[in-house]
Amino acid sequence: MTKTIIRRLLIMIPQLIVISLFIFFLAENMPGDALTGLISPDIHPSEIEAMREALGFNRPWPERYLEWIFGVLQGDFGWSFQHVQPVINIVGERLANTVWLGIVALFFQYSIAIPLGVLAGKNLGKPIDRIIVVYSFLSLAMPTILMGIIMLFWLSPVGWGWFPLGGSVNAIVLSSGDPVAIFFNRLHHLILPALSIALASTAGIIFYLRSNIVERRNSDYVTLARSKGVPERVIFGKHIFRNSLIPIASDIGIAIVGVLTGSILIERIFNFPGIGQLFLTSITQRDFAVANFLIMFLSMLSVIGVLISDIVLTLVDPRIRIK
Amino acid sequence: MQNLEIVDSQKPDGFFKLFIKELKHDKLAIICAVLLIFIILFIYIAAPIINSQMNIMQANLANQNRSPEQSGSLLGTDDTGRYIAPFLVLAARNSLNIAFSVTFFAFIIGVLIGLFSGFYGGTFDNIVMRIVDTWTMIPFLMVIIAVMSIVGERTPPLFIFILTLFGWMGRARLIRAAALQQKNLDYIQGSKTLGTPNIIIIFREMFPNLLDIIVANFVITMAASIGIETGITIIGFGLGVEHATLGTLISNSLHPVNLQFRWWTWLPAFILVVTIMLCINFIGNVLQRAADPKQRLQ
Repeated sequence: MTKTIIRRLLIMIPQLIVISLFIFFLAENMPGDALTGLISPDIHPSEIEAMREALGFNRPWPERYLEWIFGVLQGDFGWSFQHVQPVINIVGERLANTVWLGIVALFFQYSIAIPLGVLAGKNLGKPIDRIIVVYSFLSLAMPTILMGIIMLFWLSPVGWGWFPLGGSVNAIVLSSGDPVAIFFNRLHHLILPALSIALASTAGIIFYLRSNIVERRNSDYVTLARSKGVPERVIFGKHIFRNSLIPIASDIGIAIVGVLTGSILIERIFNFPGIGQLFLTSITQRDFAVANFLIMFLSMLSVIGVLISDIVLTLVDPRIRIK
Repeated sequence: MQNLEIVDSQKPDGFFKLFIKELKHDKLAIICAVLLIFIILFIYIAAPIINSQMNIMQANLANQNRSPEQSGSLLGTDDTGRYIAPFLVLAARNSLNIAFSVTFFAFIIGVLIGLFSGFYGGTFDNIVMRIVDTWTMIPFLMVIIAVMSIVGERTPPLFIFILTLFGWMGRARLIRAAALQQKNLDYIQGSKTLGTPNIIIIFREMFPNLLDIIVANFVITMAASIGIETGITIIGFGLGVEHATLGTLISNSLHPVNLQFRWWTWLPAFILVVTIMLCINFIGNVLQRAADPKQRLQ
């Protein structure tokens, strides 16, 4: 057990090095550096060039790469010249918004997909199964962003007016200072984007659960349990459903990352002030320090997400440990 | 497996025959196949004709935002006065071209890496797969957006290249898993004993046996490629108007006025994308059932 995790952690080291090199070279090729913000009529270009030399921006790349890495390890993530403050200060609040969005989206995703998958698997071939399958194909054919647009069209003030058009919290409610009202207002704003992400990503879980339940139903160990006289309800709950859930449960780390990256497009559609929106505005404002930090941040997050998934899998599935 | 039809054990049905057989059982898939063929034929026949008749991308400010009734044309005009209907055909063609190219190149990379990694196995396979894992962890959407925003000119080859760069990993994993299974079968082992060079075993003997899985997955990946390309184009990091795709038209909906009052500027493209993706997925599903006996029992 511990051995598996340690081995898994060791694999992470070369992975992190490769990813950091990739991001370093991506950043190198982006125009501008930390001194671009200083460019103004008051400062002569040669002075900036001198500063650049003094700060070591003209040294060979391995030196600069190492310096960058040590900076990052010490918590120096760069300087945003658009916002004139350290990158880390800008990201904080936006990240909280995106994390909330992710949590609500994952909640919707699982609470829609798992019951539908079970229902389809239990009623294979019946009309309800067919309806669920058609729904899954529709969900597959509508990427998050299209789902978001159609949601806006129907459910925002543009259509039936059930949910707000965008943003994260109403300014009037925010100024009232009532924490309960603010909380519910935030939730109200979250529902449409979260539902878009969730509905667009249900198909995988539904298909998986459906075929897995069917497969397990006909497996030897279920037949054995049945012949021993185990009640059907227990067979389903303990033997079929529980085992089918293992991969879904262990996929949680990857699912979290998927929701966070998927929110880039949806945040743009709903004008939601999260890290996705921040990424897009910093890209268009050429504030590459922020953009780079976000790319690096999400890469690290997916490394950790996959690690969590692997660890969860070894915890719940003994077969992996033996290997 | 019990429900599996018992076929003539002497000579199993070919992939194509199985596909037709599966298709016959699935009325929805037949409708999709017919619809898709019709859409594709129409797009590829109409697009060159439209191109030769008029300059669609020419803005016409005297003709802005006309509804279908006002303009007297099929789908009205957008906020630069372009007629939507011919625009839609050209955009659909561009979308399909880009999605096909991306899928094609992603498969070339994926199949090559998957075949070699699966065939040789062992340490080589282990290293290659760790590299694939690592590459998967890079948030590809962000990198594509970043690259598209720093390049001087957004050309179709560049767009296809960058989409391909982050689109092959899933293919490589799939082919590698299939190749690993084939590797231990008698015909490969036998061929090895006879002294056939590895490269010939891989391409002449193993590859044809994986073709059904490749075809089935190709179709499904094609739908996913359309989705990714559309998403990136909608938020404005795709190709410019001269290479407009369906995403360009759908991005009209980001303007609340268009979303609410000018449905004709974005809804037709929206419906077309969803229809194409839905049809492709349905057909891909039938192909997968034909390729993989395990899925056939459903």
